[in-house]
Amino acid sequence: MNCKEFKNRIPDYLDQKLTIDLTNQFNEHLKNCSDCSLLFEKMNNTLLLLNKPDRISEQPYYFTQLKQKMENRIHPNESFFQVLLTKKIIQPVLYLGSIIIAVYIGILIGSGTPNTTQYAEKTKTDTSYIEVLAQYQYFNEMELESIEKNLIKEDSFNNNQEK
Amino acid sequence: MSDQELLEKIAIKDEQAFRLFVEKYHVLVLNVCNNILNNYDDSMDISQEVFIKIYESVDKFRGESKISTWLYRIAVNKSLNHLRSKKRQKWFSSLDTIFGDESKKTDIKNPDLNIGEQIELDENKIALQQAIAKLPEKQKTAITLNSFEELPYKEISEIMGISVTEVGVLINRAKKNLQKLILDYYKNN
Ligand SMILES: [Zn+2]
Repeated sequence: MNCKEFKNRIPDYLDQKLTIDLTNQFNEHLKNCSDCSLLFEKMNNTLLLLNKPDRISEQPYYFTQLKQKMENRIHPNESFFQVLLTKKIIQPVLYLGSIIIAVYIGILIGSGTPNTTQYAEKTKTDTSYIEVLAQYQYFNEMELESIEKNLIKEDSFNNNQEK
Repeated sequence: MSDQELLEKIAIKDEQAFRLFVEKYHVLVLNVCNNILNNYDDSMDISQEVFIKIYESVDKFRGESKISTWLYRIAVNKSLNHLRSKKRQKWFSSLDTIFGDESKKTDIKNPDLNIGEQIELDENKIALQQAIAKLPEKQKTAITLNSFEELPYKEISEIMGISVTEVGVLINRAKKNLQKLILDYYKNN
């Protein structure tokens, strides 16, 4: 019996299914081949482990951990909706919004450039823009004025308080 | 307090009764899970799922079988389900490696190499664990309940919902396959 044959016969040997002749050949090889006898020993020892398993011993914090786990699950819907809200709704809306804004700004810039050349051409002949500009300035002054008024009001209010 | 009294109190969500029950049975459930999962962290996690399931569905227990049989059954089912989902994860992670997404790879552990922290890293044990991990589900369940939990065929048949004869067939097949798998392991290592 060679090594390969020996290895293939191990299961049948363990099941005591080999003929007397083969069993003798098997035992002969086992005695004379150190590699095969080591393999055979390892196999036997491994199979013996089936009868003496490792046991996990008592866990002191088992119930505490279990309770913690159960408490974490009391509000599963809440966290689910939070996830739904942030991940599935708010995030995409924000992304979409920023994309729309970016595209809009792009369009403004794109369409803005030819307008300024038009505008520049206009300045040579047309003076109507001055009126528009004046309107804007007036508008700005109004704003400034209202702020100033507020400041004054506050001052007078303070003055009144001091009196 | 008897088990039946404990279960009646758990049914009305008595925390003290639940604590006593968990303290009494957690080692049993933990080991049943670990026999199948062969991983301490996973076994802790899945065994806790077993107790949560019991807490939620204690009224469904009718006392026809022993409490331990009921516990074994839930523990076996939860553990096998976990193994199945891990297999799916592994399959997807292999897809990820094919398509180059390595980010998820670290999350998935190789079940063949998962050994509980407290289990001594001894070659014979690794050989046995790897061999058991490769057995088909039913053979794995039957052999671990028989060899590690030392349960008689009758109780295994109740846990698995099959006949006593089928249990015997499964255990014999499992033993044969283990011999071959262990032999293969040593031939290759
Ligand atoms: Zn040899």
